[in-house]
Amino acid sequence: MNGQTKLHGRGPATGNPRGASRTPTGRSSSAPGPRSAARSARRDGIWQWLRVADHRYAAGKWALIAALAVYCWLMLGANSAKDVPFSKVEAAMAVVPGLEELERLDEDDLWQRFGVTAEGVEDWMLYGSGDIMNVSELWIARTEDADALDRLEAAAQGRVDAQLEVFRSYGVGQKELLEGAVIEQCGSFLFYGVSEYAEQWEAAFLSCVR
Amino acid sequence: MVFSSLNFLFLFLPLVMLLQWAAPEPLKNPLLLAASLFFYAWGEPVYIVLMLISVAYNYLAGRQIGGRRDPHRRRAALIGALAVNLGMLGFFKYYGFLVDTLNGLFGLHLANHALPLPIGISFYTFQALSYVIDVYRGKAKPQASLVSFAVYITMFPQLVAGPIVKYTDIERQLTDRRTSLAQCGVGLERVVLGLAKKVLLANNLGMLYDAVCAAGARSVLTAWLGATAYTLQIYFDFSGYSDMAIGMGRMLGFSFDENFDHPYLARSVTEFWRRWHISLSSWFRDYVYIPLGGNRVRPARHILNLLVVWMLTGLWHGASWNFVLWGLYYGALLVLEKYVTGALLKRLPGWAGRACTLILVAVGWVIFSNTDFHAMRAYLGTLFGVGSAGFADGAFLYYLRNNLLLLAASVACCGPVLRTWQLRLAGRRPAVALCLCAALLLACTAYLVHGSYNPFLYFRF
Repeated sequence: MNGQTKLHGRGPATGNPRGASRTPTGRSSSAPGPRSAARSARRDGIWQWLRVADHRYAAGKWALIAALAVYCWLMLGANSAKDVPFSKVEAAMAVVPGLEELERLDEDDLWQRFGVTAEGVEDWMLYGSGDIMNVSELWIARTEDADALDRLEAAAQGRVDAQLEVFRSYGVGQKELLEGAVIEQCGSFLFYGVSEYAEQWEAAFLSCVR
Repeated sequence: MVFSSLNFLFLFLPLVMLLQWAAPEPLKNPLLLAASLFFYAWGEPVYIVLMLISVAYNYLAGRQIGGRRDPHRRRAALIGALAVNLGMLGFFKYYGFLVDTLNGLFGLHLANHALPLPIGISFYTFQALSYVIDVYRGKAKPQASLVSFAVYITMFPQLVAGPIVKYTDIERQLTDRRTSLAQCGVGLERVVLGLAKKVLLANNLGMLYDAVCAAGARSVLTAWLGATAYTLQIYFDFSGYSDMAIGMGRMLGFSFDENFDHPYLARSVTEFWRRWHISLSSWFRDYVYIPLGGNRVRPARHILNLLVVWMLTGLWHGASWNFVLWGLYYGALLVLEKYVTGALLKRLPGWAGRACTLILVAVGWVIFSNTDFHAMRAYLGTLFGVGSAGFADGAFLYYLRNNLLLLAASVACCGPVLRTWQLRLAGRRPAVALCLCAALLLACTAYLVHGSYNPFLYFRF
């Protein structure tokens, strides 16, 4: 109105040794630019809007829905596996250390060791040793049936528990390997590894399917 | 962490109770919340984020619904809360089931990225839903304290397998509860009884049922023995857990409603469902059946209401078609009782009604326990002589002889007689009752030390 701006309780500009009074940003105190006025109005508007409790609840709920969406996306990514041909998985696992000491086993061995058959399992590979003192094993199975996958996982855990029972009193080395067993579901795959190289086997498997 | 584990019984529970007793009033809820979150995180650290999001969202939803005056806006907030809660439950529990069904029905090849089921999601989601709906209906005031609300949702005694506690039932107890040594004693006794049901009865019955299932050809009597074993197992497993939850609640100063009322004494299926998993059936009655019109509608609509409610009840139990079939099975039985056989049942003597109900319930449990339809059909057939290895065989006598004491004890524990006797003993000779309780606890501990991981059946819901 009179061309002067009163800011922060300061008096009019006359008498100020610096000349025209300045805004906190250092700009001259002539009328603010249109963009900064609009920004300022929006900021004030948002805070005004949030002053109402109902709006705060709404903002909080939307923030939580966004957090939930991100969480679901992260969980899906962590649990998924690419749809790769099983031959690719076999090729990836063929070069891992420690597998050369084991032999490829058949369905009879699968039944004997894990108490499951290959029925309902699309693809699988099992490596183990004929030496009963050697607990190293690698088993990768693939099935689209979620219940079957859970059953296979339970069978793998059962195998570890049974082996631990066998070696409980005298197999210190075997017990250590069994306690470090890796059993993991990844997408439609089940991975089971018992070995000093189990983590490397797992890494090779995951790099192939993720 | 499971209730029937040594870590829980001898480390976690005593420590939490001690802290609750020693803590001043303002710290009780925060400590209980911290303990409950620790309990949940022990088994499922990654899913604790999901539970916390659910707690925070429902807290805000309750405040918003309670603060709005305009009925349309209140309804909009309620619908939003229902959508988020049911969406969360649907995504984590039913996504894989839905994808498999669509793939099977339409020959699609949709990717199935189903996630492992977060423990307790069915229970805490239903509790949250009961809260927002009751706030909307004006039956409950929105909880002002986030900590108190979080305690309601996450409280460890009933977090992972119920009972489903309605907010209105413990609203006052969240901020004002008292506990005494006598209450603690009563609660502890209930915990020990529940533990005994699970460890001494349910686990051993489970082994009998597994043995019968693993056998190739079964005779009719062997099949019925297996069905009986499962019928008893699921009762003692679930009611044992509920006993422990109610007992622990009592020790913490909460009073939860009973979840079982000797269901195998029911003389009709209608009565059975008034005695079995009472918290779930009353939840569906209050929040689904009655809003749909209940029985105050034309018969055709009433039948539809019953079938819808029971289909949803079955689906709640698991993301598999056998659970839907199980729910519809009971829906059909209830419709029959209401419109066809109800009068006949009233004329039957009590023992006949009980026997018929038990047979129907046992058949229902066979449907419930078999997710594979071929195995279910084969077992059901065997029960009625189709594809069976004769009426009786050596296996039946073997299982019966080896488990006679277990079965007799289980049948005796199904009724109120033993419990009534135990309560009378506690009143007249408390020292003897205490010794009995201690002996039970010792026996359970011995079993737990010898045994391995033994989760409760209802954990998977």
